[in-house]
Amino acid sequence: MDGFSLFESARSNPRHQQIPFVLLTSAARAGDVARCREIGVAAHLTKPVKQSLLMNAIVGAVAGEQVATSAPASVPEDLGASTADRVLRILLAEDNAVNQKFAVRAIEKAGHSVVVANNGREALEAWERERYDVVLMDVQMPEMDGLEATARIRRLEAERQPTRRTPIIAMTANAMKGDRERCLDAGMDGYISKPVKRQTMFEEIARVLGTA
Amino acid sequence: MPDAFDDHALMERVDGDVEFLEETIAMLDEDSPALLGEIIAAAGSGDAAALIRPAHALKGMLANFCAEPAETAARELETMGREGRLTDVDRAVDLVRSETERLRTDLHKFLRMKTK
Repeated sequence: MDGFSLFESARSNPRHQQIPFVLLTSAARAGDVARCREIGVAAHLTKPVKQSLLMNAIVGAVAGEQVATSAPASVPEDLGASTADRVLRILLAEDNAVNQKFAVRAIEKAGHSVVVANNGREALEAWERERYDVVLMDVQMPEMDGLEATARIRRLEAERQPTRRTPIIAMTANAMKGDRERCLDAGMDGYISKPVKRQTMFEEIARVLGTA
Repeated sequence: MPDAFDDHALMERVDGDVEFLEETIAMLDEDSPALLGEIIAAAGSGDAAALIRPAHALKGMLANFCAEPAETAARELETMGREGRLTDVDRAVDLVRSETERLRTDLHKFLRMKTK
């Protein structure tokens, strides 16, 4: 059950109709803000939430104001003309918290949605659970590295019918010669070097999706 | 001595968002000491393989702050780990430690200037 469904089911119960709702999402999808306004959600914030924004939202919600939003949620409906003509669902596999934070912010600022996996195993599990337009895969990660996670995803894709292939872009710190070749050999489609720069990331995403 | 970080490049990287920068610096403050601790322990026990992961992680973290000197020092340690070359490791560890400390100090100074 997502936040919208919970909200709607709470609203259908007379005892809960007056409780203000603040929705938190990790994804800034186009249309979310409009939907919140339409159904009467008090505020909509994109995670990670800044303390000051959360406080304002709660105060506003209790005071009966409607639909405050954090910056990434106020993304224009016409999104990312330079990267894709639609909102992308992106899986980010990255173990380093600081790198995650920068990448999540860049993705959300462009109006796309992102799910974070902390290692290759989590990435594989997330990929099993739902469909992504593209995976950004760090190569060196604990538990399962990006090369192995990619190889497993490609094996599972090959076994399944109808087959569909999720584009995977490697992120590496250029530590070793031959990194690029190893990534492509493992079944990845593209390659960006770290620290990830926003423009390079979206250019590569557009390239692997064939929307460049 | 070169600047600990490129302030123009960093502000561009965070789109001038000082609050976001503050949050990322707090993460660096929180996460880098443990990585340095692992690096020191690995170097102290002469375990080249154990040096690779923390040096790599620290390097990746530092790179976000456009911090060339500290990043270069961490990269050198990672390479030493990979090549099993520990003859000069104490000097390299000292350099990473001092450059990371200098970076954190200068980032906080910069932040204070920006939030004044």
